Amino acid sequence: MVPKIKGVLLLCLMIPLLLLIQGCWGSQETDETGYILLMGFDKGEKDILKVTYQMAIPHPVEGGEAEKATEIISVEAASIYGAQQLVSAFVSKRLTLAHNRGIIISEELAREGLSKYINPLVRSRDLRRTTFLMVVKGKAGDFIEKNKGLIFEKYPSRQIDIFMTSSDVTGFIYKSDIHSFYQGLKLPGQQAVTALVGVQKEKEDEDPKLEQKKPRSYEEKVKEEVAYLPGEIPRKGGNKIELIGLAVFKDDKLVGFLNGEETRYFQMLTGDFKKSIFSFPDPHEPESSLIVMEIKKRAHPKIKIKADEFKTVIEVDILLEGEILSIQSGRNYENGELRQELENYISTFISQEATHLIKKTQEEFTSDIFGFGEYTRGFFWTWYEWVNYAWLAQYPYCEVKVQTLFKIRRPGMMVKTAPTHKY
Amino acid sequence: MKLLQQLGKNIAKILIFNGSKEREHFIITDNNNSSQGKETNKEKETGSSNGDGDSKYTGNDKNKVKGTGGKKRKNGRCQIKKPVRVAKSSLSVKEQELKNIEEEIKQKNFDFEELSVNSSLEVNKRYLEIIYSLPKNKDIIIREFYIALEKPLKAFVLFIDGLSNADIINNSILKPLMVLLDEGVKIKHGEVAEYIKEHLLPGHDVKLLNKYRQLLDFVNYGNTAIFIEGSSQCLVVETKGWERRSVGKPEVEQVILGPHEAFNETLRSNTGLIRKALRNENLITEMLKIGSRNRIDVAIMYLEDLANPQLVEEVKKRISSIKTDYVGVAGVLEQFIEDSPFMFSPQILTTERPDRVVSFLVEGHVSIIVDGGPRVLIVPATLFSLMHSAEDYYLRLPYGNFLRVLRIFALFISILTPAAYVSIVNYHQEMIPTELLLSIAASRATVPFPTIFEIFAMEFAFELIREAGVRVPGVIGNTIGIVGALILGQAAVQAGIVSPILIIVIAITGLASFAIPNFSISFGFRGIRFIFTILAAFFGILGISGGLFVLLLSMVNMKSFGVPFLAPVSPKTTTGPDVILRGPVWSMERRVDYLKPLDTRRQPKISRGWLKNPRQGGKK
Repeated sequence: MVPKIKGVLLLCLMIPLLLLIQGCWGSQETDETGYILLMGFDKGEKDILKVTYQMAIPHPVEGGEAEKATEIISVEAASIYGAQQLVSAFVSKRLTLAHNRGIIISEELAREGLSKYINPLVRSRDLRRTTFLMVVKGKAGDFIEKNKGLIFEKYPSRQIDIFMTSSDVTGFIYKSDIHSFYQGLKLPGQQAVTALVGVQKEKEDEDPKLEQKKPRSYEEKVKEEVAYLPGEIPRKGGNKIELIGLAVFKDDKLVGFLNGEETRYFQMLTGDFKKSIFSFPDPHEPESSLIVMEIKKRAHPKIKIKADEFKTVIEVDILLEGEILSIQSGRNYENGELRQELENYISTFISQEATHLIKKTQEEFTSDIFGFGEYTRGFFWTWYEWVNYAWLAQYPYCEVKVQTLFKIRRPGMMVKTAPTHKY
Repeated sequence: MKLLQQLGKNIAKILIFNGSKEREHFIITDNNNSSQGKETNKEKETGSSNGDGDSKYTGNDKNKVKGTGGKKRKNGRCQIKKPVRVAKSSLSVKEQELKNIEEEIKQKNFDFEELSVNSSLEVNKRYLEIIYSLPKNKDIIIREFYIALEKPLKAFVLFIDGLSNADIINNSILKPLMVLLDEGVKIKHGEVAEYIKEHLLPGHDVKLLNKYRQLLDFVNYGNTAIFIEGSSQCLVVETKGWERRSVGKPEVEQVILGPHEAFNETLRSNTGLIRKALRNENLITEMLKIGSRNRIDVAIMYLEDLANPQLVEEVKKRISSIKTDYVGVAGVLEQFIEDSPFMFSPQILTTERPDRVVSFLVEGHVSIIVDGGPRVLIVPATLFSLMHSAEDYYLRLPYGNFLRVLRIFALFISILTPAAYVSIVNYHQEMIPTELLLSIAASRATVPFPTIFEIFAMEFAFELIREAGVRVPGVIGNTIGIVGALILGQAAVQAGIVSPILIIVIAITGLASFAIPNFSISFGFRGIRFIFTILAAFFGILGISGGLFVLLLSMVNMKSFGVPFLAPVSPKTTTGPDVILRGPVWSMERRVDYLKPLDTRRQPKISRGWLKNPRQGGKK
């Protein structure tokens, strides 16, 4: 009995000691903490970096809608964390990045190179690597400021979240997070991309170049249905911001943009594509009617790199399937030969566009954003051999063969179009 | 002597009969009423007659009575003096004999266990007067009468008013013996008790006893004893009939489908309920007595051809080894026989449902029924059996399993929810969705206390509601719910003392703990929840995982009557499909292995004879 009592006493002594010693005093109450929801980086005017924070102001649910849900703060400092510390001088909360959902980087900074900003973010304890990373056409501060009056959500973190997940049904938003960008920076087989965002252009400062653009033909209008960069979508109402397209990086520097249309083909080639609605000119009357098709990914694209001493060939098989949404001409593309014809037409169309996109990255950007280089790993025994292979330098000179296998699976709820009465 | 005078309370008398024609009487006197005592003694003396064979008893009887006295002194209830010789003895031999006996009394601690029934009615009456402190004790009735034989025979019945059924005594004992006898029934003198038992007494349960200890146990439990002049045996007739609660509905373990019978406070009705449901001649009911004061009956029930004899032996060993003065209900006995009294979890299953007991008996468990309480103990118990409810088996497979899964969640919720809340809010704010965190932050914005204080305040309030709800007098019982739910919850939030989300946390924890079917283990989890909350406040999730680890270790370490508490999961043994989820009833072919029952098979491989397709489990 005595040793038992001793043991119990010992435990009673040890437990408080453990509590004191182990130093897990990181406890922080919710009311002491300021939650950053969005963070934007701009080039500073008075200092090196200007960081804009959108912070949550927690309000009770019954507080009403009129109350402000977020506060936007911007501060200039030399570094990201320095700025975060400086905020404590005028905000009575300890800022945390634990709930930061998006980081927006201005075009200007991106063109200078992003390594110096991404590395410390990846090193951070607070920040998650699943935080969305976006490049904004223009200034990040403007983007956050314009997004202030949220219409459908209370907090922008949720808004960005939903935007990014809607990528699965549109295809023209690219879901890019810090981790994937970091991989793009560090892997010898691919280059980095981020989502591209922007602010709706005010009527006054409308781009004069757009005005000067020559009027597009019917066929072009159909083909370029979603070929917009952020800020260009002809629209009214809704949020002030737009998420569409891609920012293409070479090494860690921004080299160009892809519009919504190209982003869809980009995702088809990488396998990130889930489904999207495409419009095609009717093969028989391309000037007056169109066909709308919901296209889904059938399987992951089959990518093969064939390399010999003289040339490297990239062969891509894109596997897609579709459901007919609209046939304006009323031709019975649902069955038989016409269907075959339509399938071939769309296959060729997509192959052409995809090839065109690859060519663009080869020639204009000289950047393998698709990650084709990853498929060359198998050629080598060791990592260093592969690194020395220097895929990224060879990429612009590769030959490209894209083949699309497209099948129409369903005609929708209409087996075939019956002709409209004409008296 | 001094002690007696100091206490100066009772009078007790005793007569000791001598086999010879000379009589000596010994009287135990007290300072107050000695004269009265003497009178009564003399009175009785004249009325009494004794047979020849009595001389043998003399010594014994004296001893026994003395023993009684000794016992009573021990109990501190009344004092009996040493026998004092009143009449002058003519023979020094007698004196010598008595002295010897007194010596014996001094040396031995006499117990009343050995006292036998005297063949003299008067002596027996005296004994009883001492034993029951008559006439002070008003519950005990001695009714004297004559048995209407050819030569009327004096007798008396002894019973306790309120415990015995007066109708039975009147109609089945007094009436047949006094009124209904044919004139001239003749019996041989020596076998009178036996003759009466066999021929004259219509009682359904009649015993012949000659030890006081035994017969008093029966009388104290509502039976009636018939003492007959000239017989050194006593007839004990079953006449139990006290006011008791009838078989009612279960109050703790309620089910929707399934029987609505529950045990009550009467042992015999409880064993009857079990027997009614388990009609098997191998069902054994063994009786033990515990408690030196209340000598309560403890029944051990098991199936002889099934229960492991070692288990039965162990149960009997544990129960019979208990030396205490009072065991009122099963809950007290449970504490005497459980393996680890300091652990959070019970190791004995307690139930108020006969059907539940039967389902365990047919598995080879042993049940212990203590008279006086509506709960029955079942040993051994494992964590899994404590988490099962009778309802699981009465419902169809998918529904039963749904309940099981629900209950597993309830288990974890009841232990971990407050702890998880504290740890997430204080340490791991990144773990929850932003909106939820912000709404927690919003709800906590006006609260001036740290989360841990807030949660303990609310837990305390909730426990108060719970405890008060049990203790509150029934008339104002309804108020507690309203006070608890509305005033405390709503007002505390409005006053800014606790946050609304916390109310949800506490409420769901409370709900979950009610969803655990076993009251006892639910209590256990209710307690360790606080430990987990403290751990979470100091260490976050790390503390919770550490706590879970220690909890698991403690459970693995526990045993219930030789069966590991986590069997059959740890240690792994073969078992039927009824541990966490349950399989279809026809697939439960074998009994649990950890019990080592004498018959391991419950049903053959093919138990549904109507199935034609062998692949579905039918005949080939």
